Amino acid sequence: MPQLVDRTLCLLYRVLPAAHSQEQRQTSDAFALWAGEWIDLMHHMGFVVEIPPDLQFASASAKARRTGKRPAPCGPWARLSGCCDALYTFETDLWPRFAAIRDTVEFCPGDHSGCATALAVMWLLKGGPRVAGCIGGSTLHGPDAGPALEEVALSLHAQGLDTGLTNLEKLPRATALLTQAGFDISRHKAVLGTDVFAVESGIHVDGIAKKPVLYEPYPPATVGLERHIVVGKHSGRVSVRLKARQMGLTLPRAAEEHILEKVQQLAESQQCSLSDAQFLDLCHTCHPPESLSYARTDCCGLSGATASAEVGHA
Amino acid sequence: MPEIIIVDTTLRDGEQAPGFAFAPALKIRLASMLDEAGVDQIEAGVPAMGENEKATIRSIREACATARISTWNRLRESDVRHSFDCSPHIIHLCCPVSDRQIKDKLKTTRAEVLASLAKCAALAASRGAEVTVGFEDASHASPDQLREAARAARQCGVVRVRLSDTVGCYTPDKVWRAVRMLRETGVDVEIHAHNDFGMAVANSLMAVNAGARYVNTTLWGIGERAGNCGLATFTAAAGRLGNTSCAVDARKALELERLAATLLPQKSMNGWGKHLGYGYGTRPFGL
Repeated sequence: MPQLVDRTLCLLYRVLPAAHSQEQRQTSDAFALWAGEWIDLMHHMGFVVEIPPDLQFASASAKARRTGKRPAPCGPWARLSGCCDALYTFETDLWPRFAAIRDTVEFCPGDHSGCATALAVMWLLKGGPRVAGCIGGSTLHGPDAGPALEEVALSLHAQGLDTGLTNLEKLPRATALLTQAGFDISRHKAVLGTDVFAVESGIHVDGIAKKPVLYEPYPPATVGLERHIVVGKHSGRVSVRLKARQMGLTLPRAAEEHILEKVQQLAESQQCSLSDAQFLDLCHTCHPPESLSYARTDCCGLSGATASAEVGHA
Repeated sequence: MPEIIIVDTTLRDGEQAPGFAFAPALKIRLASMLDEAGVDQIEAGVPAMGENEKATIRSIREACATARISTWNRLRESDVRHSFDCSPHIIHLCCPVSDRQIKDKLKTTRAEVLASLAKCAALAASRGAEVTVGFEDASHASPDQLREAARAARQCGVVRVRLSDTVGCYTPDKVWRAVRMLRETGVDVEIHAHNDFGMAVANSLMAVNAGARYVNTTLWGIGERAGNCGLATFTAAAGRLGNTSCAVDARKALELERLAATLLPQKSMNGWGKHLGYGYGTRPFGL
């Protein structure tokens, strides 16, 4: 079973200054506390955690704290880094060179060509036992940090490979910890982003209502996220119907087309999708509240929450 | 050295990302900028969306000096007729090829889909436009199903097919094999990659390495879910890896994305365009 090694702590640790001043000591303490939770969380999901030597007791995992055992920082592995531009030559050059000693090699491809995740996946699919990277990948720590491990893990799952990882629905906690540490994680970041399961296009909403796998690479719950409908320029009648139903409104069929037209006009005029409040106002403007029936329902798991992209627009 | 031909779909698939709603004037401006940057083909929109969209596509066609304009269509004759109103250079037909798309979404049979493809392709070609066909959800179709669809398209006179990785599930080795197989049927191949597993750029590069000449991109990598293959990131990566040339220069692409980002409402851009500096420079633990 492949091992995915998270380097986040080491990457953070090397940018922390030595604790000479009072302020720096406080920063180090905050980091040690943060690191303790990070290690526990990563272990809970099944990742291997690379721990900086100075932190091995200060922020060891619960098990390590109990036993007092000091885990080896890297184990008997030689790290193969770089290889950023090896995509075209992976099959013919890179893999053949290391295949014979793969059981001692920890692959940590760089991301200068935007291919780190792909290279890590190729390595593991070939039978390489271990890759190193970090949660969030180069978007958080720069191109030398290695692949984004959450992308590698989900890609392997999609290929039917057992990674031994569990509890990936805890990934939003990892996102929260990284945010707490000062990182800005894009809402559209693959696997981690809060809006990666927001859907607006009429074709996609219709498809997901019929069968979610048609337009989703994996169920959102797998990574602790939810899908939600956003209405806007690209919505269709089904989107309007489902969105209204999730907000507790049952629209007359005849009204859907009219409301859709208004939704599209408003979205285009404000160059942005609609907020929930805007959509509700629009439904009420077209059809007075007393003419609508109210009953909040769930529609094929399509949550009615508005993507945060539009929240500020209400 | 083979040349990569960029087919930009910012104005169609990119705009479908929740949060975006380009005004007509903005679409025309973005199209002009893409044209000036050397983009060969601009997928300008979906004519079936209505008269406003059609008028915008017509204006885009007039505004672009060299880029060819294409329209996106479902496999419906009515959609193709809407496209005629825009006089595009290229009419693109979206043809689902996976079992699940055909059975669970369209609720029909593969034979019916291929029959519709033949009818729509013949109609689309009847006014002189080039016809291209997109294989939707190609990453969930078997090699035999892809081969059958490619041969059917070829029989309709189609010379270019789009390999659409609709939910971003391709891995580089799989996309390489799919492109090689399609090339053997005698069609040109275009790759349309999504970034659900962070591999849109790598999969597009691998498709090029296997013989695909056309690559779909969007500005800032915008698109459904985690987005599409970004124009600036792709051209930069293609330049680094070599073996190919691209009419769109990587530095120009980056400049284009920087400039175009200023034309959009900032709340729309929020979360896109990491490579433009957004997100970098964060100071862990306030350092």
